[in-house]
Amino acid sequence: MKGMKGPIFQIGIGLWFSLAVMAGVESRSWSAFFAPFYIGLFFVALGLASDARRSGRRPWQIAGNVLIAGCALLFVGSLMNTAERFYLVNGESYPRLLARDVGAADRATLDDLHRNQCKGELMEIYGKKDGLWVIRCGFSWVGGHTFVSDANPYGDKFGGITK
Amino acid sequence: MKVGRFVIDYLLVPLGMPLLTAVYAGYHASTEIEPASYATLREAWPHLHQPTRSAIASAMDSGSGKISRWQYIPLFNAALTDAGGLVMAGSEGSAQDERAKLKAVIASPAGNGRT
Repeated sequence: MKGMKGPIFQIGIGLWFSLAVMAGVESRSWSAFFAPFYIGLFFVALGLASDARRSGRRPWQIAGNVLIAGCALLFVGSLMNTAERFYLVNGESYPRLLARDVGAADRATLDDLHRNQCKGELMEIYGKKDGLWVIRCGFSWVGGHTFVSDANPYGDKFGGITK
Repeated sequence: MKVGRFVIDYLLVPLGMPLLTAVYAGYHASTEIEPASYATLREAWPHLHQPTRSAIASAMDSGSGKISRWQYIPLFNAALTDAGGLVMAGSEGSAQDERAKLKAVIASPAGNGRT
């Protein structure tokens, strides 16, 4: 790996930043800009770490190793965050450990969560086995909030639906 | 390491590419929207609230009477919020035709587009 000096590496980073600029301008949205921008930054960090590890000075080598470890953690975390999303949508159950228990939620609970924790964000509700209901606002576990309920929050509206 | 060398070795490509892209994106965003986008606003017009109608009328008044891609995004979002859903109306006419149709809707008494 040639670090930040490698032409392919630099073009790769340039492509991610270009994608960020194009997406941000075309949709007039900072969130559209930041998604690819952060991926570009991730590769910048990898390049800097690679350069630092090949430096002759010990402190730089240590800093490079720390940065590599940080990138590896971030990568694994991203994979786990993606796996969680797949499991939330497709899994039969959901680990309570990953969510805040709100007891037997009803529509008033949903309204309260929507107003306070979720700040008006879109909410999704998934029925799991054993009468467990998972409420997610935001898309991912890291970026959003996750709650579990022992009752269908829309039970009064869709009374016949238990799962 | 000299500053010039550092810029060439490390910054020229990673920052030059997005800068060039920004120039192109700025140009592209300033170009006129597709005819179908005028048609979308026209179809949504009866369902829009007054602030959104005023914003569309004002965008049509500004510049050369055309709506740019940059101007269109907030108008589209506001129209979507007001109407709850939009008919993506497609168009077989030219941008000039669709502009004229939208202007007619704005100017019509029923359109009530001016404040």
